[in-house]
Amino acid sequence: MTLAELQPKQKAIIKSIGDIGELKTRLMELGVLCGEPVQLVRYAPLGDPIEIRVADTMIALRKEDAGKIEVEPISQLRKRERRGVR
Amino acid sequence: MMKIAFVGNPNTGKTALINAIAGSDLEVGNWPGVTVEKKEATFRYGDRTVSLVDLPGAYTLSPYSLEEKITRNVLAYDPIDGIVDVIDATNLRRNLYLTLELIDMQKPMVLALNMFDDFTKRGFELDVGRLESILGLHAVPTVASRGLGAGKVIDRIVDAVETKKLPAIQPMQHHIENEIALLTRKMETERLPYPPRLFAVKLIEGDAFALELARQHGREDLVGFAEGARTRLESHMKLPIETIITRSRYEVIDRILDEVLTKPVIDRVILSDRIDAFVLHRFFAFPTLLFTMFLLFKLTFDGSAPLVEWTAGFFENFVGKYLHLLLASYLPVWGESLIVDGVVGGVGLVLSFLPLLFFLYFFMALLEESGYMARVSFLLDRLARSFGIKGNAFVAMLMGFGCNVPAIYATRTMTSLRERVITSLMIPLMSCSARLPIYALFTALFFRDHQVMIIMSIYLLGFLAALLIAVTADRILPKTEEKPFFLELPTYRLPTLRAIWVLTWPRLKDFIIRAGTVIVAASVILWSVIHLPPGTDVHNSYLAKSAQSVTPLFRPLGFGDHWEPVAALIPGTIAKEVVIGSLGTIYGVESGHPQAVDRFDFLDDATSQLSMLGDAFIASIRNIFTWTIERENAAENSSGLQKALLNQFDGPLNAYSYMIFVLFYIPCISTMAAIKQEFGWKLMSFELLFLPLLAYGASFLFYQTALRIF
Repeated sequence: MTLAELQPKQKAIIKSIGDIGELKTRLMELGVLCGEPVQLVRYAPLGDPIEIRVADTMIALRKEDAGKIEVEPISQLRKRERRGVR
Repeated sequence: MMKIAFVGNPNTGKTALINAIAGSDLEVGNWPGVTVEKKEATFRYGDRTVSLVDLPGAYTLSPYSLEEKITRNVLAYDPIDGIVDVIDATNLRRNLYLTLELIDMQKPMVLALNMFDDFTKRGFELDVGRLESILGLHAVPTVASRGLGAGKVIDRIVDAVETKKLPAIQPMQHHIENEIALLTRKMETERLPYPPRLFAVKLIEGDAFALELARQHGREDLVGFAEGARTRLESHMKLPIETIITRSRYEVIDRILDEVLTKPVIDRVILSDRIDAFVLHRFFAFPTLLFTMFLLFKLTFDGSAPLVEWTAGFFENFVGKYLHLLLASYLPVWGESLIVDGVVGGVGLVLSFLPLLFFLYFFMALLEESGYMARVSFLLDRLARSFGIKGNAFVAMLMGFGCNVPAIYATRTMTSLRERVITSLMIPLMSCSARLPIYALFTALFFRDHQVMIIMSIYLLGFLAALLIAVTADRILPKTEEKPFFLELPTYRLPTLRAIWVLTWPRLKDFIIRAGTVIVAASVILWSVIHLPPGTDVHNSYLAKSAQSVTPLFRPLGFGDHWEPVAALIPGTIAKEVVIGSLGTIYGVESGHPQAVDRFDFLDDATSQLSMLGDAFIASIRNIFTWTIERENAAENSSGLQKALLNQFDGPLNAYSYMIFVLFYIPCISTMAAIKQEFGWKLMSFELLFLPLLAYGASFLFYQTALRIF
């Protein structure tokens, strides 16, 4: 699943950041790192860009770039953990 | 002289902090506005001169926009003695990333923990002493918007520079440190412009600037070695190098914060989130945006109207009258006329719009400081994308409503030249504050009942034309490699009056200085071309003759019957402020001297001016809080200028056509100079040809269509 596919308010863990050119370094410098929690805050009223929250920072990205960031929604992670326990 | 650089992430309050330290001594660099260029302030500290350099906000030293590049270049090339790192205490983790890079520069350094009031209010606790000992520098809690802590910051940094106290290096993982050590050892032989440790890290990261720098100094060996280091690290850790370095930095940061920071149990910026829930809401966002824009213009216009009227009257009936009285006995008639009609007439009219500009700049600063401008970018990015630009282009355009010049420089926040060019083609069509008085004058005469609506329509027309130009430019200009869109949405802050003043005052000052220099010069030149050749009346003057020769060209536009309005447009190319002044001078001369002064009672006149000022203030405040405004009847107390204009323009259509022409033709020489400086001769020459043609075409189209409809 990608960051662009999350529902508003949904939280996830960043899995990998694909080829988004120089934006990749910039996002990592701002704390968008693999393994960090991220939340999709909202879509802009015109549908694009999206607003995400990483730590205390709110960042706006276009969907085409967010679509290259793989994430794992936290709800699914929990499910898998529970399954693992059983 | 000691040179101190102020560096920090965007929106951390650097400018406010420098202002609190240097006060009014702040020498604003090239142009007022948000920090789009490095600005310097020099001030006396004890017996020495200290120069404070205000740099554009940067997240890191690997620049993404042109602005960040400016910051990086100043740090790399300028002889900086010390660094004040201004950080937003409420977002320590992200802000400390830049701090770590700055520490790697190994220069005397002080940390300003800004917005410390918000920080404590939200329930955070920080062991400042512990942070200081870990980082090996002084950290000062500050509230720059209220000037708190500013004095201590400057004490600490001067002390650090004098004692040559360097911050403590924060080592990353030892694999990385080994490579850095090997690389810095290779640099010891010669002096390189970038500090060795930072240079080494940037070389390993593969930063283009660092690699280029090494090559320029003939150190191909460093480039080769850094490449080796990179492959060794990547194969050892099985991760790309960006991940290795950034993660390593964040490990350091988290380790430090673990020791010094206590977070509250629940921490949420509830208010800011709630505001965004409404301001960025699916249905409410655009009505809010439009309403905000409407409010901006309504408050500016209605609030300032009585004050503008008073100032104009003050210059005409008071300053003019007594200057005339004073000078008539010393100077020949022409000399007195040069000063009273030329200088006071021109400059007085321009200065009378000072209250209007004050209101406009005040509300613009309010929007900037509060954090709403970033939301404008967010909301409009989708629209901007259709034109090959990004949301921040609209922020530059909004600034253009204040003044086109800083708006051109504001395109430096953008990431590619193509975006900057497209945006700069749009900016001159944004009605700047200098054009507003012209609209104000004409709408007051010809559209009394719908003044605000008519003015808004002119603004909208400019905006729509700008979009049309953007679409065309996007089609024509060759596509280039674009950096993806990215934007931080800062937490909303209620700006203090002081913080707004810091943004408002330099802009007002700039206007006054321009009124005092360019416009005085233009007024004098104008007065000369009206009164020369010597001994002629205005109809045979140089200006009249040259204007008369082109006036018929403007007949299809609806204002080609009289030469005076056309003549006023000529000096308007220098600065739009001059247009009204010119009209005043031209008609003033024509109507002769209506100086039927019957009595001179200076005290009496002065007190009546004062009481009128008081009334104007009251009316101004009342206007801000009311929606319907009763306007006095202009016919009774209108000036000579207004009567002349009512005579010479056949009706509202002609006036509107004139306003359209003013909207589109060359904004001013300063804007043209800014375009030349940023993009070169070619684009400026294009604008010089294109804008007058556009103005002519638009006015022509409007007037001819309107004639057939009405």
